[in-house]
Amino acid sequence: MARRLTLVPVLLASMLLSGCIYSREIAHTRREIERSYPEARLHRQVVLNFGPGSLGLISLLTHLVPGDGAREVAGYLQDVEHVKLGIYEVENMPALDDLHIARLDRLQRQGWEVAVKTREEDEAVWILYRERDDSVRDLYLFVLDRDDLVIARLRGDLRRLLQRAMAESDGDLTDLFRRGD
Amino acid sequence: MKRSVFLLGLVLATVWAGEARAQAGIERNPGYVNFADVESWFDQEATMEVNIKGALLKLVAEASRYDDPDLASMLGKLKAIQVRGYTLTPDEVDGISRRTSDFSRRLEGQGWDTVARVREDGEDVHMYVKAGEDAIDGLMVMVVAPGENETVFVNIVGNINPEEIGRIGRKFDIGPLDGAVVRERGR
Repeated sequence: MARRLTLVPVLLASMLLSGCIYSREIAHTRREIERSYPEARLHRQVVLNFGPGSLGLISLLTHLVPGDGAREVAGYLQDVEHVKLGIYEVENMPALDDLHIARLDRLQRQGWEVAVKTREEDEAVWILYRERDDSVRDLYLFVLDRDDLVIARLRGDLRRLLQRAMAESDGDLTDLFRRGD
Repeated sequence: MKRSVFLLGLVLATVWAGEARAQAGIERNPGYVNFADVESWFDQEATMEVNIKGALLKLVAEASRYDDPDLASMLGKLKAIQVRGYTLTPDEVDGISRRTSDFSRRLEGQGWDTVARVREDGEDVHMYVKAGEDAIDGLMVMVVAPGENETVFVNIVGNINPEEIGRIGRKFDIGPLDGAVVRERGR
């Protein structure tokens, strides 16, 4: 047990030092929003960038946690190859009707499909995906409202993970990554 | 080396051809409506765009299977769900209403049947179905709502049970379909 407890901080430290808490892609999108809306303030809450190594490590760690839930999470993580996640607290965000994110246009030019795109005065949501071999392999999610910005990009065989997430959000894709609802 | 390049080219060509076939497959479906025309009517981007098809649609269907197997089975027969919503300014109302009427006539010319054409409280709703041999292959709904400052276009492609359209509306939060029931002709 003592050995496990020693192992956990070591593994966490190695993740933090290996660039798992920075994503250039997410930082770039954040800067683009700040350029478009100079009056807005985005405060970083969480930024994660997990590749296969880090995810394998997390999957391993979840096995150390007792209970079926942790084992289930470990099962989903085995299918995922890469996760980038950024969550920011938003202040002074003006109306979003005219929001335009060049990064998202670029993804569409690169063959990503738009699943959902909504733009209202106080909220903008983009969900883009790519499929291969009859499965959703890449997912890009962007949700910006007056309080939060959430950017997530996942790669891997996302069937099981999304199926579970959709079942829990009653099939509403736009609810998947909303905070606090 | 030449052989490797050849093989790589062959693989890429096969993948590209597969994707092109899948896309062409949807567009060839009699219930599919190309929204490129509708998009060209507006100077602005859609405020709402939904495209659920292929693997994503299967995922949604499977995710519903536990709670609502009937709905999952119905979604499993669909090929695509497309929605476009636009903000409508007072200046645009007449032009968009005219274009919507022209578009309706074009759909009728292509064998779509009018199910409903309703004007209520200044809101125009046009609903069309494309009947297949023993099922409905597609549904198209157009709503022009100047009072709400919006216009919405919905196209559902696939084998549709007409009495279940309202459930699709509720599942995907598509206002114009919520509560809608289309009775098949002859029933």
